[in-house]
Amino acid sequence: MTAGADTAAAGRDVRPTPRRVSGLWIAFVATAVVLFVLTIYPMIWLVIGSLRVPGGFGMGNFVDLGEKFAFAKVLANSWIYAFGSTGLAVTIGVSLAVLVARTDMPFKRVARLSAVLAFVSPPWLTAMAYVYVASPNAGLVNRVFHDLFGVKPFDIQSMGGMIFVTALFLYAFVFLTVEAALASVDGSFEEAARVSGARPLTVVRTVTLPLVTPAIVSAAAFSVIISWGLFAAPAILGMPARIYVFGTQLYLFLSAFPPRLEMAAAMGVLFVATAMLLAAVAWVFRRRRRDRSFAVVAGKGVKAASMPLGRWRLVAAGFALGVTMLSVVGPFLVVLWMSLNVKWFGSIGLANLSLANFRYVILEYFAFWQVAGNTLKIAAMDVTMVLLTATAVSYFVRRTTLPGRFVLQGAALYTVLVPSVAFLTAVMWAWIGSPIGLWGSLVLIAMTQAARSLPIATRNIGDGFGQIDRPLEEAAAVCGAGRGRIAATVTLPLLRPVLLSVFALDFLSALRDLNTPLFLGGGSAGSMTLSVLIFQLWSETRMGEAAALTIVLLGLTLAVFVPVSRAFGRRT
Amino acid sequence: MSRVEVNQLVKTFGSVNAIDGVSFVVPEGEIATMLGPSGCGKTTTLRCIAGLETATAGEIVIGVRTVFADGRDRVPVEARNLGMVFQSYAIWPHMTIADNVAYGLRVRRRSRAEVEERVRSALALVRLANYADRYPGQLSGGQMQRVVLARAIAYDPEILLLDEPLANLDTHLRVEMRQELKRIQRETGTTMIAVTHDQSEALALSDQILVMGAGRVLQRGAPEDIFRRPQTAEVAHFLGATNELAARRVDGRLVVDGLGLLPDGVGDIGGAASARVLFRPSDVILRPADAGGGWPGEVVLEQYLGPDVHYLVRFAGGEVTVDVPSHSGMFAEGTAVSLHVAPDSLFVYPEGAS
Repeated sequence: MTAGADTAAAGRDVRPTPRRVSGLWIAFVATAVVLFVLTIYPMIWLVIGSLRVPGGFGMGNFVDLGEKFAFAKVLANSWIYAFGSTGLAVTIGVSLAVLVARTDMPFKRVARLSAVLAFVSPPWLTAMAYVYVASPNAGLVNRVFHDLFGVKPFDIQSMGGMIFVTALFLYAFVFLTVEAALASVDGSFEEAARVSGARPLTVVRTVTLPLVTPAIVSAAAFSVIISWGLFAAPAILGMPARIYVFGTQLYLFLSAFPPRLEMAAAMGVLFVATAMLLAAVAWVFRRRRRDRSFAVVAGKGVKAASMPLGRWRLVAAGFALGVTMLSVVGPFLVVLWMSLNVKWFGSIGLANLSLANFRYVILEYFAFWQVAGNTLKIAAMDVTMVLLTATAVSYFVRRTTLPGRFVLQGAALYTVLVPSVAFLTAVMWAWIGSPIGLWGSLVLIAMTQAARSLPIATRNIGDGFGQIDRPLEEAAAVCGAGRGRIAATVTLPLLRPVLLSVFALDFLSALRDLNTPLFLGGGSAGSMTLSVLIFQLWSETRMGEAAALTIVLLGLTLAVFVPVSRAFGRRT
Repeated sequence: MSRVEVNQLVKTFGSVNAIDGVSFVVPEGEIATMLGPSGCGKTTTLRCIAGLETATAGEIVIGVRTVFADGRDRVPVEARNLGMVFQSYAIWPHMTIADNVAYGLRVRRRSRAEVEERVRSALALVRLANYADRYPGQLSGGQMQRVVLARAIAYDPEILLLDEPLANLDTHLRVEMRQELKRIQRETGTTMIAVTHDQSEALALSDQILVMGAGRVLQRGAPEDIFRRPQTAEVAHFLGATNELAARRVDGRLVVDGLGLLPDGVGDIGGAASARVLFRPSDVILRPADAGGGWPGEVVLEQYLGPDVHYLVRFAGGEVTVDVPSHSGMFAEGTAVSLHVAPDSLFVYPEGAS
């Protein structure tokens, strides 16, 4: 106590400032280092790799792409695939979002739940199910049609099939984005239109959709970028028909002998650049809307009264249930059926049902427990890194004035613009020859997944910070609490629901992730995950085993997810 | 309990001076209120005293400590030992009422027994003794207000700051809580600084009122002083003198166009050629036109408000509003009337003080 006798009365509450500031700086620098390693460092290597040619640096790889590898064809396929899937996904997703958010359609909860399930279900599951049902020769439906009419009308292993299956997953992303936007738009805008005499469809066209156009545009842009990063559906549906898109072509480059790493990097750079351009266009569009004083969030957030559909109620319900059936229920049932079947593409009967596939993958496959353990370890490491980093970044941005905090945020968010497989190529370049023995380890897989998950987590947690009324924290400061204490006693407890939902979402996506462990695992049992094992079984045409393992993975997911979602309870 | 002194405080946002040289002293154990329209800088001043915002220049002294000087906070908010009542209450929804009230005590590492004892007495003081274990979601607005108050005084802060403390309550509750607030202040003797835009709240609560406008203190004084002797037209207007007439000097006397001479002995306007004349609607007496004297006018609109009747009266030079007690008889719309205002209820200010 050096303050002197005259402050003795208030003495024990007087504290000097400097210590807490340096603590904050240490945390800030640590976060910056983590972010650099996770998201920036690999991308630097991607650029270096793309420019590396025998004996130095140059643009040779880009020239080779065009001349030797029919890159134009891959490029065209990727664009058709991405824009086709996005177009179909936006059509389904937006109509469903409007129906759920603004009408009296029945089965709204079913539609919402199935969108969530479609969004988090393993990307290969739907593709496997549709191969079983509609592959050109042996598909179940085709065989039925062949027996009845002598034709095999469906071919899922085609560009059309890839687009269809991908849209059944992507629509969920569009739906969730647009539905959230609709929920936050004040209902009185639309009620004013209805009172003015506009019929429901006119209201949707002239008021509802224009209000959420920014959300639709960004959902569409991100759908395209997501499509470019997909691997499972193009691999399962496209590769047998020799249709190569970005993801599968990269896989070819990397699994060739010797691997064409520099080609992969060059192609990655091209797609990253295109994706960034696309995002920039979407951003400019949104910006222009805002400049025209486009205030969507005005109003008190009154929920819009639902519009009566009348006779169309049943049609709408049919549409919603149809999407649910095609995207979630159908594929899940088919995969369940496949897992219980040992006789392939045989007759549909109960005689062949058995648990043999399950017995094989769980009890007979030599490394099942190791692989399952890997999967959980990776997910746990991933979630820990994501929660810590995303919370730290959001804290610095929302609650401090440290210089450079927005750079930190940029580093955490920008990977959303990088197609998944391009980022994996970058990570490969960064660590494959590195003296730090990360290559092929579970830690590297978790780090990479974390880098991919950071944008959504940071965005959600940042929004969570934004929803905490500032006076709640100011009151704690006035009461005498320092920075750390405020965070621990007020901010974090209030963030709990957001943190738990981020945890759940991230854990699920880590469990079902195929791309990262497949590209970075190196193929040994030591770094293999359930998803990679499933893909390997499928490649060996052990379809029943692949399906059974998928069911096991889903069971594992539920076993983790249900208690967690119980824990943070119902938020109404 | 401490005195608070603010010297030449300036706060700049970009090129705008939100506070433009504010100075005042609040003696130990008094209630001071900053009164003014929104955007006058009163809340910013309060937040600067709290340390939630850093001023640009000036000096703030709380008790014996200079907490802000030379454009820099010398004592951070958490070490200023204050209590604050927020407009939005800011009661932590994840803690019980008792935990909310105990927070400041626990931060100060008081013993468990002392925390318990002080929480109990703070809740008793605000008459919420039975609510300790409830969560904030189960409370009404008035009860929340009491919780915030209990939380703010539980650890005996040097001063208590109140940001629009009663703004979120309905009329009835506001009057009750206003009384409660003053009672608690008298019992604890805490120095309080409040911010409000409601003149009756400021008048009822304060020992000292600071009327603020455009980032400056326009006038400070005791409530009656402010109410009876506003020094500028802005202050008069803000304290309810919403009728304004323009007067000219003719032959040494003030004349209002369309009405005639002002009574002798109202305001000295020095050498100015014209003046603004303000008065409160409730200071007007209406009489029938044939009663003689006063200014002639005609009732244009009548609104019956219960205890009062509110009239809009037109005269040759414009319109004025008049509030009269309803038991003193009514005038129908269209009636010719005469207006009488006592000389000491007319506030006269010279115009263009050159």
